[in-house]
Amino acid sequence: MKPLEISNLVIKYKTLRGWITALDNVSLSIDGKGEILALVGESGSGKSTLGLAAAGLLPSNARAEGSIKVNGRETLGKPYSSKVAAIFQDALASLNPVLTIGEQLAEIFIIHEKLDRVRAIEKAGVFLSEVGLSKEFLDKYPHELSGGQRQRVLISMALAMDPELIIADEPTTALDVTVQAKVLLVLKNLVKKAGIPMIYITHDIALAMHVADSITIMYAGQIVELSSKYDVFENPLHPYTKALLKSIPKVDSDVEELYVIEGDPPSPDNFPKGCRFHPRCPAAFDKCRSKMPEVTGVNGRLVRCHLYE
Amino acid sequence: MAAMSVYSFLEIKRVRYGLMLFCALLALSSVALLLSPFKPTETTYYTLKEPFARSEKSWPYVFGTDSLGRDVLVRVSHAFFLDLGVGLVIVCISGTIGLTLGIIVGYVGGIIDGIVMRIMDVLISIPGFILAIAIAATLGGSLWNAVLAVSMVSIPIYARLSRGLTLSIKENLFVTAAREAGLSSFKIMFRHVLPHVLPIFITQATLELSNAILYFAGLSFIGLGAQEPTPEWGLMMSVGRKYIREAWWFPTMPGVFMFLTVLSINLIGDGVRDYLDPKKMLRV
Amino acid sequence: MNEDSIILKTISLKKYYEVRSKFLKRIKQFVKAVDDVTIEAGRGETLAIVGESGSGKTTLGMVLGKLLKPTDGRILFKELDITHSLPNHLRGKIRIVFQDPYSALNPRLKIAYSLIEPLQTMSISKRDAVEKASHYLQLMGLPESYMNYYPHMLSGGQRQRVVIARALITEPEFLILDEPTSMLDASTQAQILRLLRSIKKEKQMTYLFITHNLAVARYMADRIAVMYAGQIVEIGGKNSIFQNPLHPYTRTLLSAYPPPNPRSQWNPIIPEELAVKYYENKCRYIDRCPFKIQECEKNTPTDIKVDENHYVKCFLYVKT
Repeated sequence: MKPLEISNLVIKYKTLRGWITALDNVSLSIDGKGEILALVGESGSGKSTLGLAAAGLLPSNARAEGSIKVNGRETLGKPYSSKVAAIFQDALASLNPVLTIGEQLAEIFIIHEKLDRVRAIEKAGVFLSEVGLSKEFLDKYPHELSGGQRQRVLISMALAMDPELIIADEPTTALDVTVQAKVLLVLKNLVKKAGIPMIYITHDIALAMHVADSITIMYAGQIVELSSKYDVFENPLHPYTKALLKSIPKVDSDVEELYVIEGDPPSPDNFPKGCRFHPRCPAAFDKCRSKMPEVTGVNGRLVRCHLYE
Repeated sequence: MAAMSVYSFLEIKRVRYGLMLFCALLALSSVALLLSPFKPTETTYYTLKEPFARSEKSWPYVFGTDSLGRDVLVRVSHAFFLDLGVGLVIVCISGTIGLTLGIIVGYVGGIIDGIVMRIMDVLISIPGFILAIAIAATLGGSLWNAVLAVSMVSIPIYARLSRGLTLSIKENLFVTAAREAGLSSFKIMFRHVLPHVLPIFITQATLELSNAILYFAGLSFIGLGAQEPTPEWGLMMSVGRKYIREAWWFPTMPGVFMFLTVLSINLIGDGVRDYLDPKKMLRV
Repeated sequence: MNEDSIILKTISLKKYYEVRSKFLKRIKQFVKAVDDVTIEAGRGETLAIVGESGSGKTTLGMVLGKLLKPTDGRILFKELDITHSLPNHLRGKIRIVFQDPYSALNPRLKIAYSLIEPLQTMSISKRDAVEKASHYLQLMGLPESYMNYYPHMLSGGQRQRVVIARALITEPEFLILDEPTSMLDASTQAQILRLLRSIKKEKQMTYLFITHNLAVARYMADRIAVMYAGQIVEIGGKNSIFQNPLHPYTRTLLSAYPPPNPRSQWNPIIPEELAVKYYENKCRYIDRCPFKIQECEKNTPTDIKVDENHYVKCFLYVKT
């Protein structure tokens, strides 16, 4: 039984301009405990929609087909469950401004583990110390914390629910780089220690390389490549992945000239025919313009490209 | 796109009813004014005739006559245009001043903003109608003084609204970008701030039109607005209330007309607000 | 640096904001967003200002772009003092490109209008202005037909191209780029960065490139200035900063970026998460610094020359 198994997931949103497809036939799985899977893509690639669907938090104008199984249980279409915890970018919006950190954290233990108040507060202190916050923070209100501290509180709250899956959607995008490093390392280490599988959603492929075990590259609502991070870095298969890696400035070496992917990502109400990447693809040939490639396995890796069929 | 927005505007139920009512009043008043043989200020010996009483001329007295033998329908119709016109003038005067003032002090800020807005606060803290009475009484009872009084009382509403909107629009990067491009403050206010203030301002102005009419009629009712023999709703009700037992139509008809006019304007104004409110737009 | 080639120079530039900290308290407190900044930028050079939020890098850009009045200090543009006012013949020679392409363009105005707006203060006929606008639009790789579009019809990257064209239209010699790609996707960012580099080469412009992203700074800059709490704590040539970072803050910042290769170790230095304090008589980085020495408590560090064009504000490098 896999911790997470998503198969043939299709998610559409109803908008003023009609139905648009945010996710198109996405299948992926997390096989081991404590495995971290990164979803990497640009805005509009569908990575956040996938996260929302897995967390059971799709908005009311969304329609979903397919299946999301957490430890073998179907969760798609079911209401939000505490078995899947989500951490979002905006920590201030996720915390209750009129309750102290201690109260919010303790409440989780009171509800889920039926602890009494004193024990719950005690346990809250232990959980806070795991994310590097001292007991003083129990009596503080969310606005008294810095962005990185709030995000660490959210991590401890996610872990406190003892979830079967954690979704972290751009958890550090609003933070400064030095703080980001700290939060991500805390998150990664605790998730590994607790053995909870996690989906890590980010636009920053360099961060994904260090936080995740395997990486899913998404483009225009589809998975274009899925494999271990070493494979993605050392031998990327899909032309989009190759181009993406070459188009990012490097901090540890001088780049003579950045590679440029021409054009813009397609908008979800007007995807190109055939392969969705073909108008920007340097390797496109006739078949790419007419027929959409399917996800195929290449040496245990998944790629959606006609070059590998 | 413009045609589509007009269409979706008419889709709102309240707007349809409001417009229908308003057009009916407009048609009735126009017909009465253009075709009726009676003059609004022409007195006769046929005083306090009941509605549909026969007259010497080709038309009966449809709404009856008043204490001086004048046809009530013609007077009420005349007053429709007078009151509506006066209302529009008031909205134009107070709206223009309030809008200009609000945008300028909102954009410039500082001491001027403080002074102007404190004056506005004082004006707004006194009940509007009482203030209007005080101003009209000081100036002396006449139609134009009443217009002036009501206009002055309405300025703070527009000034506050446009100042608030200006403050939030000012936060947009495109205003900073315009400043960076070297545009003068006047040009920025005109090109970048005003177009964003206008839609909400117009909504407020539509809703304020009915208030202006009510205030003006109110001043006339207590003798500080239009003077005899001008046909005006408030004035007619004021004179007519003495005759309510023997000639109910004399004070009632202007009241009914005023009520329906204000109702139709409010329905349209409400619709405008719904239409321009982006949050509600999705629901329409 | 050769004196003739210096385009812009600041001398002890300061921008303070007063904050009322406690109710009815009489003591004035200041946010020293820009404090005693002395920099110079030569013709054709890209000087990157790197720092985290609250470092004052954006305020510095706004002061240099004449959007904010400095509290103290001087700004020299081609040896002319422009601290208080810009002479007419220099109008449009210093321009800013803003960070957020989504709100930098008025949604109710056509692209053409936004483009020619900066020319309105200059004596240029409407026809010439429109012609120029279309030229710069095409220079930025956008078709002329976009002149009649509204901003919402364009993608983020296209909008940023319009914003840049709008800055270039007055033929600036000094362009302040305030995080021009931080809101764009990776593929769009690469397009814009490359375009900016080729335009600079072509027009011999000087860039002040403000960014929080060291990788972007490394790609764009010739020299890098690291800002912390309103001060430039380290400044030097790109190679010298990346190969030999000296200030503890620069080193922390550099270590916070994960190496692209997943097999390389990522060992970030983790600083204390504390509010920035604008100390007057000790080093401002002292609260977060893992290498602090006694001297840091007593004095404010001044610029120490460690190499040709490489200066650092840190007592660790005082030669005794």
